[in-house]
Amino acid sequence: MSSGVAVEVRNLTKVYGGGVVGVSDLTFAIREGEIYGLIGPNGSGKTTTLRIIATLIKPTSGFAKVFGVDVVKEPLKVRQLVNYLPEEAGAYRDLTGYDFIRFMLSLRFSGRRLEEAVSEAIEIAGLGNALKRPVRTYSKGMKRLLALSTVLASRPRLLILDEPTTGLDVERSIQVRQIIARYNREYGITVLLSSHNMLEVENLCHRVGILYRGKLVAEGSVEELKARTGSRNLEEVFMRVRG
Amino acid sequence: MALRHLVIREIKVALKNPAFIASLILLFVFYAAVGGVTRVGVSQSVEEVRKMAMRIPVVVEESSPLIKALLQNLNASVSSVKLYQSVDEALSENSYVIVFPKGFTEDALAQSMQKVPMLKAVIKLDSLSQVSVQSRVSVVQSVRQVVSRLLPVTLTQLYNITITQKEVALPDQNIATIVYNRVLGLTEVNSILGFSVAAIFVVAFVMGIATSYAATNTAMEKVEKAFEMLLAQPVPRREIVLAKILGSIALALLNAAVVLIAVLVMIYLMASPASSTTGNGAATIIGFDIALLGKNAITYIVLPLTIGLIYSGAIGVVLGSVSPDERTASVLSMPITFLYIGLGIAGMFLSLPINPVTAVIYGVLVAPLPYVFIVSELSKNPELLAIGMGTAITLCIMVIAIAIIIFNRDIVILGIRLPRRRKIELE
Repeated sequence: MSSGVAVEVRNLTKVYGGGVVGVSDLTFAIREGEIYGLIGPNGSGKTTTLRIIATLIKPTSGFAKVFGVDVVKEPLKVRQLVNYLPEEAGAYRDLTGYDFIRFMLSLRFSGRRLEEAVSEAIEIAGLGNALKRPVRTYSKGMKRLLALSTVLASRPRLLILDEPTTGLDVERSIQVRQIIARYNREYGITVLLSSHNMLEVENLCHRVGILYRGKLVAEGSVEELKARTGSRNLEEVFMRVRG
Repeated sequence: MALRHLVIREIKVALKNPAFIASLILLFVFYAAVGGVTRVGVSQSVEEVRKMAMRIPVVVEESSPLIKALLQNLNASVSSVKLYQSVDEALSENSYVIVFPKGFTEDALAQSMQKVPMLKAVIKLDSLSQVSVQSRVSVVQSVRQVVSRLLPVTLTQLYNITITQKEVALPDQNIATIVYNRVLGLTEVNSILGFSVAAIFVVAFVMGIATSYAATNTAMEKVEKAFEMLLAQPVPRREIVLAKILGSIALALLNAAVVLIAVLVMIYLMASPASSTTGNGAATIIGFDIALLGKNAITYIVLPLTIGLIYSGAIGVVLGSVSPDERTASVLSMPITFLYIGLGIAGMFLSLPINPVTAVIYGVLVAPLPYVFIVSELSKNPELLAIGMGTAITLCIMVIAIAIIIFNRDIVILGIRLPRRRKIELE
């Protein structure tokens, strides 16, 4: 793991229309090469945080930087450094799986590099001949793998994954976690993911931030958090730190 | 028992669908608006007819006792008749003139039923609209009817002869119109108006398709959950917007081409059995329009269509980008389509003259631009066309800019969220 800062978030606040607070005064940092997990219940601000860092929405105040680049001031530059897998990300239902992979990667690469990336995505997806079929015939797990394959094969410096295994069966979930860990290990890709699944975060993440009602209520490695709160697992940690 | 529940559920689901409710409301509003616009147009024409019928301007090209007596009877029975020395003089004070041409008396007195006395009429049009043309034509035809009714009476008074079968004719080819200082036959004017309405409808229809495609495709991308992935890619948002507009244009053109070919095939198949009797009237009219309006007739449709497609595609992208799903997108895009067609054609019925103000309005609507083209060509006033086209192009650029701005805002991700009624939670 490198010691550089991949993501710097400071005093980040997002207030939606009608005064609904997405996140409030959020501050945390992710080191380069780290897998960082944001956990918390529905409405705690996980997706809001990820969307701001992925340059999809803008913060009301505070700032977020990715490898030193401000997400509001230079969004296009940030998008060259990151790739984002939204929650329940799907694909264009009338395209074939292969066409979808090729389309998404053609937005980043061309020529020989594109062909390499497409081959890599096909290998990651592991969908075989199903790639020739329209996406509308795919199961939820197949769609998830397809979308994940395109973001991984783009080998961004920062990979942002919103609930990467939600709705997947155990087998597919394990497969997805293994792929994420392998890309982090082999290519040094920094990963920021959100999850409801405490077990997943415990097994996959180097460090964890616990969000509750838009605020970061605890942060640290899983072991640190367990020791600090005297908990046996991350679920207990969450129940204790939320107050 | 189960059937009852199933039927109730079917109806309940439809009634709770905002798109269904909106379509019902829109259909009602659209048809009521069409009725309202037509009513305004018809009221204007009725008023115009009433005023015109109060005094009948007449030019007599031959002086005969019959015509003098006819005019006296006309004066006594229906309206006041005012005689003018020339058509120009009559039209300087009135919007039409009835002409008793040379040979009228001879034809009226002829024993042969083949010889029909004919009138002529010249109509002055302030604007090229269905309502103004039809109202004036109905006035001159009603004058013809009165003259026709008075002719046998007058013949009896003057010559003590009884001719009951003799009708006075005023065929379309005897009705000339003066529009934008040009003299055109009634058939020509009707042909131009038909061409204008058809052109406006085609442009508005294709614009509606483009808006609908752009809006639903953009919103569907959100539902398919691929939209956020796309927006997170290192691609300038303006390129995404332009791609969506161009895509919707291509799809709308494809759709319009298929519809056009299908309609032509339908007309061909319907006309084939009767072709020996009906001839190819449509082709004649098209050829006539091209001869009259010049080769620019095609340009009158192609240019507004091109601008209209970009404009409507951009509007569709804007609607789709602020919609959370395709249902909302279709609710938002449907009224726009109705507006393109309804407002586009409404001007034709309202007798609105084309001036700089209406040229701007037609530029905003884009669909009526073929009409502005034609009026501009006939009146030799390119300024009106420049105003209309300039407005349309400016708005087109503005809508594209708005789409790009929206694509760089949160709303493209979050969509418009209408405030919902809060339910009272019972403990």
